[in-house]
Amino acid sequence: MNPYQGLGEAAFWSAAVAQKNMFDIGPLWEPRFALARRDKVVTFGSCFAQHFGRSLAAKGFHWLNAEPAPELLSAESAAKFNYGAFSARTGNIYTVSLLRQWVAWASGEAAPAEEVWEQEGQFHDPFRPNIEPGGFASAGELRRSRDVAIAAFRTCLEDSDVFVFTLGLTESWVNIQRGYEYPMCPGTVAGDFDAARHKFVNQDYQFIRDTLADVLVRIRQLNRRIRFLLTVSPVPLTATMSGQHVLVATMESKSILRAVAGSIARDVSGCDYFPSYEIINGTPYRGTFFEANQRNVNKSGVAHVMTQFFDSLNARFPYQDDESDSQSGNSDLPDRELLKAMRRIQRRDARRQVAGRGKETETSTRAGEVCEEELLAAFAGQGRAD
Amino acid sequence: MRICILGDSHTAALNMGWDRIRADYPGVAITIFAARGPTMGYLEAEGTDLVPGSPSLQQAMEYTSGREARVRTGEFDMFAVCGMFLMPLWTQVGLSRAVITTANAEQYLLSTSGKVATLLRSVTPAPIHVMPKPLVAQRPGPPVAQAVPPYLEQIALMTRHFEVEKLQFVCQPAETMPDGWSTRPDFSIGSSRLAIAPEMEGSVHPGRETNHMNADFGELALARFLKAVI
Repeated sequence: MNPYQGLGEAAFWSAAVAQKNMFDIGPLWEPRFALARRDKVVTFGSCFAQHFGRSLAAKGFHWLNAEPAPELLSAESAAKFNYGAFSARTGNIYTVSLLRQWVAWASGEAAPAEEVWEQEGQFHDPFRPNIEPGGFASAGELRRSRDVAIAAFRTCLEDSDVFVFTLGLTESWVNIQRGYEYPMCPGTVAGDFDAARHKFVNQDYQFIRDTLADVLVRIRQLNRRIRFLLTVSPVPLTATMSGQHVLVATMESKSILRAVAGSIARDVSGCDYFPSYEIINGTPYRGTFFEANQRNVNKSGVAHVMTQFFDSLNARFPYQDDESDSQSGNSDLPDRELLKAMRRIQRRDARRQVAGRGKETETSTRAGEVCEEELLAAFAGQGRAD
Repeated sequence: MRICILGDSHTAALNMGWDRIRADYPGVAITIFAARGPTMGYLEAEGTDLVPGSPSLQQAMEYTSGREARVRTGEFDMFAVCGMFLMPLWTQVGLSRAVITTANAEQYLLSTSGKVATLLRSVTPAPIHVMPKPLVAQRPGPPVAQAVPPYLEQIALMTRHFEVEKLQFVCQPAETMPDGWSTRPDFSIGSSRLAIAPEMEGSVHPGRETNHMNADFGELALARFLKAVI
């Protein structure tokens, strides 16, 4: 007799993973708290957080958009101006220290630095360098716009029931004199890099954990009922300043973020972790959910992540799905029928693989290639996930 | 100079204004092709001409121009597209000029004015001026939040936005806008309806009309326009 003997199938790799079709692996998440449709959910963080917001809204959940686009702006232009990407127009909040910076601004504890980046008569926000594609017309316009975003972010902190945050990076850039952080290295999207003013900091586990723990406390001071859902972005680094190979740097960064998220979720009440990172990056998925550049998550990956999310949620805390069915037609996510089609393809390939076991290496490679082509065909015309 | 004005009911004020000042402009000939509401949206291109795509538009164009219902674009030196689009009033704070201009431009292209100007540009390289509908006459009551950026600037931004299409947006005279976002009320008193048949001549809007302007407005707007383009 040993302690493993009493464990369920999910505890054993062979039964829970190796012997299963990738789409049948799960459930991978046991939610700690229910999510009612009336609960106001806000989403912030790295790029991948955008998918949560869209999916929640498409499913009929109350995704709070505290800074909606002007009604007269087309959906295409609203996206171009980064409306609706997150619950406020903060742009990407890649690190937990950037999150703390936004919370400090929203709570009035600190004010954003006066720094603006001027380029060819246009003004770029150092804290939201991508927010206006062509930049702002003046520094005043930039600051008024940022003030609106900060006010909207505060609304999110104060009025939401669930705060979803996707941890994205450990690598960061800070202003040496003032200590504030930039979401992107000055001189990349906009601004000018100055080694005397700008410093690279690769945040370590302890710093990130302490910062995240601190920022959750600060948010709770504004909203005692708020619950947190942490995720880690599965999207690899575009580039690294760590001196390591970008693949190694990516794995280290994501491992740290994943460890912090798990630790915080275990220790902070009303906080949970959802494994979108594992679903995309796990070895059983063999990179299926990445675009050809092996960085961007494709539509089917997003669909599978969100299916896991909603299925796990519904299994633990059932919710009515009628409303979602009627709204999912407007979603940019592949529908359940397409996912079922993907599963059928996977199962068929698995059967072929078993039938051709005598030539296992050759067959499994080919099956993988065919499978991927068929998956692409199944989602033809649906465009990129990001 | 031969000027062609294409528009909706707002051309009535310009027409009356032109009657008052035409003697001051001996070298200028203005022809107005107009129809009520969005009817001008039925214009169609035929070679380098614009022709009516519906019987009601044909009747309106014939009556308002006093000639055949065919805009022979080669006969004119410039065009003005009047009305058929109201610039949105923005009260939402914190919006950038780029966002506002993009939204204004999108709304414009969806409007009858946008359709007519686009059609016109497809058949002629001549200058096209766009005169949006006048701002609504100021009503008594609490003040509306000031639009940011100001209306005058939004008009200039639209011209810059449509630089490639060479559309020149024209702002109504500054003195008709006491606060920059509405028209002085006296300019809407006694405004006439657009006549598209003899029996409609002389018909005026009800006393509380705030969307259409009178001959005083038309005279001032046209005089400013001519001063700018001649």
